[in-house]
Amino acid sequence: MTLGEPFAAILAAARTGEEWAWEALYRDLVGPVTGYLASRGAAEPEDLASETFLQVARGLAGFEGDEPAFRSWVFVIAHRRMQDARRAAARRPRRADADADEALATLGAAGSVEDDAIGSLRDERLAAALERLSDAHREVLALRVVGDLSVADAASVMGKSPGAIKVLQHRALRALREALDESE
Amino acid sequence: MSPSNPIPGVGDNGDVMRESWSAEDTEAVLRGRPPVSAYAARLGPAIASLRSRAHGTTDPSTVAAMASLLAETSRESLAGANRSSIRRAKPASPRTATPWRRRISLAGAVAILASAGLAGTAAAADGAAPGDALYSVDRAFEAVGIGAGGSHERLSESAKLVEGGKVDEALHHAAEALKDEGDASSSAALVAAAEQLAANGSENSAEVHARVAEMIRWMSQADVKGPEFGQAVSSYARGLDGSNGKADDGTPGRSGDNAADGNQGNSGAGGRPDSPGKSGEAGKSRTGDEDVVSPSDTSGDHPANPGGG
Repeated sequence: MTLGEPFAAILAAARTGEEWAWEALYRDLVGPVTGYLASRGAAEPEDLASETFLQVARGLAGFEGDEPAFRSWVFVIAHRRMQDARRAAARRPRRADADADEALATLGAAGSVEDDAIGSLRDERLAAALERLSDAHREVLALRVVGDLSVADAASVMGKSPGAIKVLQHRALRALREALDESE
Repeated sequence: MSPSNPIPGVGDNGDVMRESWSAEDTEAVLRGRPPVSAYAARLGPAIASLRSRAHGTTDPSTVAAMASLLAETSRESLAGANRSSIRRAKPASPRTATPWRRRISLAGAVAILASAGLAGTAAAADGAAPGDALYSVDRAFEAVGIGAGGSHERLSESAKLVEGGKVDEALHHAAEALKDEGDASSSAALVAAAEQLAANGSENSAEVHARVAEMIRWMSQADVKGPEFGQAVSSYARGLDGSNGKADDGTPGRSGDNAADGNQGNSGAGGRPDSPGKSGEAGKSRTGDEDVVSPSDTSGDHPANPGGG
């Protein structure tokens, strides 16, 4: 979901510290950002998301661009936060693995409290299938699906060309499809 | 460009059937639209499940608190940017971006937040433990210097985690608190204890829960900076699996070997002490300053201006 036409006005208001504007920006992006961080293995995605938004607030004065550029910038920050967290987690080897496993498990979970049996089975298979993908494949899926970024924005975050992202996402989906087949 | 960019699929269940999979199909699957290829269509439920993860909190109090905090932070940053544009023009040294320096640089924001009536929100969030709706807000407030923060709050959170049966998480949370406090060896002792409990498979026993709860209660009341604290934590940590008790007066048991434990984390799995203050974070980002991802910084990484990439 995007803010669309009102974005420019919202951004200008946020720049001057208007609370309603920040609420709009936060509401719009907190889901994709938190979901992205969770899907990338962050142990505390809500914390990282908050830190991401704080950094956005600190840096907004110097930001110039439209809504896609803003979203891309936010995800660049989230991506770097996640990398920092991973580096910190790497200093705790067992926990890092445990965190990654947990993140994979939650990535596959539907996030619904109803949690019916069919859904659970599907989610387990999805988690298992995702575990078989390469990190780059999981990253591109997280950015495009969970983060809801465009090809160009995902390319910005991953430091690749849009063409490379198209190839990568194609391969990621194909790998996911094959992994799901194998888990059946 | 032609939408047809056929990529051979893989047959279902070993079938020899191969289906084409176009770039259109890829985009359709990713955007949640029905793809042309039946092969690709089978990914629909999986992608929908993935997409469902993109639900952040909509808890009104959390959203309101974050909006207030972000608004005030942006106001202060804007004011600071106007005051110190010359200083910002200097390339940041990787060493200048420590968490403490960030806190100091945001002292003005703290003053504004305090005067802006956010104290109530901060206080409400202050009691949140990991997993609570307001916990991320609590940490965010602390990041800019609002709220207690510090080891004692982290230890209180650890106590709540133990109450919730999350012993492993509680021990690691407490370990992080002590590491932030600069007590790497005590932190390592807790990590080692958590490892040991996990290895024993005893972390879920009621007895261990009680011991961990007691240890954390003691830690939260003790002088973290005191000379005996590290040894006491080590001793407590070793006793968590039942091999070493504690004295009746509520202080850790003294088995005689605790003095050698000042650096026990060095040999524990995953217990390598890190230098305090997370100095290893210096230079962790491409900019050398993980918190300064200014739009101008990222212009080389992504198109801040549309069409740049």
